[in-house]
Amino acid sequence: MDESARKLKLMVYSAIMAALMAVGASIALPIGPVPIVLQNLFVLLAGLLLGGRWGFISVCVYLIAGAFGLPVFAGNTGGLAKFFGPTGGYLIGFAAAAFVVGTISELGKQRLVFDLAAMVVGTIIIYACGVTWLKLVLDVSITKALAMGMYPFLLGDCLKIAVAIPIVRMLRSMITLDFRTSNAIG
Amino acid sequence: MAGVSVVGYIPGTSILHRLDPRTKQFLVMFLGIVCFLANQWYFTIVTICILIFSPKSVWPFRLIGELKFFLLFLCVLFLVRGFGLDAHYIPYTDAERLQQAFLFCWQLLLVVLLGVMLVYTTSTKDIRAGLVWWLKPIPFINEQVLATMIGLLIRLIPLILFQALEISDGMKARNIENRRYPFYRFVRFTIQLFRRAFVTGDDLVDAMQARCYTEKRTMPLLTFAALDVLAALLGIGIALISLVGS
Repeated sequence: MDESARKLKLMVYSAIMAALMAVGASIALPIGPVPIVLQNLFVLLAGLLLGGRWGFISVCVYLIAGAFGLPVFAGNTGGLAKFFGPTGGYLIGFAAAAFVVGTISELGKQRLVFDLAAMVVGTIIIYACGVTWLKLVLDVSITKALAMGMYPFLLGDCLKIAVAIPIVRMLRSMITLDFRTSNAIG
Repeated sequence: MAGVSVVGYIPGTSILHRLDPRTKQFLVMFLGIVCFLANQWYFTIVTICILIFSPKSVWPFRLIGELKFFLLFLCVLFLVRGFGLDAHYIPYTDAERLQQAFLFCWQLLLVVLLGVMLVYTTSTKDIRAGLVWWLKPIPFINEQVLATMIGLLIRLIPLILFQALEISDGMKARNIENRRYPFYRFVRFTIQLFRRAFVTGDDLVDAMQARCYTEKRTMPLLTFAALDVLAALLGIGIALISLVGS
């Protein structure tokens, strides 16, 4: 595959991951008491499938689209001001998480234990950013912020990490990722 | 899954349709940020402007249907901010607290409505052209590539949502709901969704290469007319008066 074709493929795959994140924000699977939304699973998968650099770029594309007012965030919403709203911290956390997850996975040569550790770290980053911002914006105690923005979703996140492993194993064999080392953007 | 809906472009001839995409993007960003600094008079004026200038076909059922999850989220936010718990965990509230909660939710709703109106009244190619113009001055970013990726994102969302619905229906037809472990449904659904999305991506890459895709593309001609000047001045004026007043 020549350089321009590889660059084009990278661009399209990153756009697809960004679109999947937007779709993941609209889809809720009714498993257990709290419906599972797929958005943050897709953010972690972006890092695992595309690597740190391109996972980060795909999340940035998603965030920039939302910042320009396109309704790609949860509940068909968008706008630069969403970053200053209660859920703004989670959005910033997504970008950092995708980069860290992809980087850890790449450094660990995609071994199972590294993928697992990467997703745990990624989830911690998302909640660290999200809950801190939620506390500041809603002006509530950290206990209340954790009760609103983390505890109800922890079980779902454990499930997501558990199911992400077979998903990633299967998808890596399906998707041609011979572009991981490419530096072609910008 | 049954309630999934897509906010998309609706062709029309309303005033918002006739505005330059850059004007609309500016107003969405500017008025959205000012929402966090202004008072209820600003919210009232912006709400009236949205009601007057937005396409009539979306009010109220389509809009409520497409924003129903966000509206539910707003109800939860209103309860959290409007009510507190005393030492015995009994809810309490007062008029000021309820008013603050209401204004906060109204503020968020306006920000979202501004973005939704942009998408209802602007085609993907115009959004892309506007983005290229805005991103051009930012260093270290290839605005053409980024705008193309955002253009692809807009076009791919309805397609992937449709594929998700098809996969969900196909899985139901095969009695997936009777499986003992819900994980199985979750894993199969996600694998199929990604597989189909990336197959679509490969087809898209082939199609773009066949059409000699390059980053240097012909952009639609954008014209900043008198109506745009008027709209931008109106937006800035409303914001300034509200900020000075508050």
